Amino acid sequence: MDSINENITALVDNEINDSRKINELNKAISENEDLLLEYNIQSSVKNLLKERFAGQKAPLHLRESVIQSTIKSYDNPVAEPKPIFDIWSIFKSPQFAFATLIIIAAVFYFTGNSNVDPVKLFNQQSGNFNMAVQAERNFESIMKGELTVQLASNNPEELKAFFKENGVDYVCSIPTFDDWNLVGAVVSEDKGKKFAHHVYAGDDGQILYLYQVQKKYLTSTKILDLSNDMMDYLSDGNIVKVDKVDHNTFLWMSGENVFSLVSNESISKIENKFLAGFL
Amino acid sequence: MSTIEETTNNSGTKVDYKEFEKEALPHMDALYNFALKMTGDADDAQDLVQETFLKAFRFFDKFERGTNCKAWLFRILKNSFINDYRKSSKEPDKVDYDDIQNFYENIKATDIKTQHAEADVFSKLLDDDISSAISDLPEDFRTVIILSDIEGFNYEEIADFIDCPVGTVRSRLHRARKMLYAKLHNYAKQKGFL
Repeated sequence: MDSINENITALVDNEINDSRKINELNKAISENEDLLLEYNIQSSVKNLLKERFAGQKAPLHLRESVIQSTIKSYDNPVAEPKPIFDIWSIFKSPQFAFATLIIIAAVFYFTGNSNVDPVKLFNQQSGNFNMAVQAERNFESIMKGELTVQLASNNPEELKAFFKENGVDYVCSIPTFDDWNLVGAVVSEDKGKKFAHHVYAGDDGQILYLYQVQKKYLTSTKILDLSNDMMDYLSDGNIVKVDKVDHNTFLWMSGENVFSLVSNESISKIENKFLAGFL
Repeated sequence: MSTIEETTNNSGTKVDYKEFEKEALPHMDALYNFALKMTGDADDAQDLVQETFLKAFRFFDKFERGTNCKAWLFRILKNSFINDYRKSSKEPDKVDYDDIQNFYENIKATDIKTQHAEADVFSKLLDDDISSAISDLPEDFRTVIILSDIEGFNYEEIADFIDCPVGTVRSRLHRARKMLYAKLHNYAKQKGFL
């Protein structure tokens, strides 16, 4: 029995080339409930893993880090171990111990949250269901012409109606601007939930792609992800701004929604006109 | 970075960095995914991937051009994992496959007609639940299921990777999926989805 069960595994994996054997197995599966269960188990697990994890992206910063480290490795062919700064060694000297402790405590007290590096936070985002990762990928697809709007319209009310009709169950903000025209909207689906995206375009080829998600989908229900640190940072009213070579990304929270804007428009114009008009 | 075209790696060999970038870097996502599922820790996975690329670059002159670069990188990663990571982590408790078989016999009667519904139930499970179930599998089984179902390797590639006959790959994969199914079934029950 084990042998035929393992052949069913091979069938699910398209590892059987003999068409006669394939037909025999299919016939056996259709006639025997135990074999049908075996087939269903093998295929449902395979499909689940493929759907959830295949093609998952590495964190955005890892690529850069790998490139940097390989470059360093040939800049310094015989790598010298880096001296490690041992913070505890300070305290070994009695005359400095107390003063140093006071200074460190003061630094921690006065700097508080200001040490959070938003770019580092952004670079730590990873995974197929991460909102920041999805936004970057979607923008890339838009720029390559691989992703087009499902509804073309410059009327914000039409976009809102489109979101609602297509299962987006939260209120979306769709402001209008003098410098950019509304182009249209897309509704995406993750784990059975629908999410809202819309796009603006400028006269000189600038694209502003905005993805908005109700907070609960990133916190309690966890349909989508942003790291806890990132959520804390945004909850404090901060805006994450990441300046890249060919585009800029912003993340912020407003009302009940979290927003991710990816655009090839200049940072200053986004800050002064888009965000100012939006927040 | 992009101006560097040819340089010397640690072994003193001229390496075309552009070629390395073109051949090796596109496999980073797959390597990271595999490392993450094997270590169960994002930081460890990143360190493992970084180490893999460093070693790959050092020995890129040993890579046989025209062969499967992805498989070559995976082998480097596997060796790093075995040498540096597996030792320090506690090996998950061995699963008694007979228990899985008994469980499987028990659910047979009721589940045959509800397979489609069950797929829906599993789709309600969070990624973390599924990842945790994968992490709980014994390493031999975890390796084959990740390579096959997440990374899309065929049996021959997996056999080459784990240095076993193709029949062993098929057998382990068969059992691994059943073990995982049993674990997911239990999770779904605990969460009230079943």
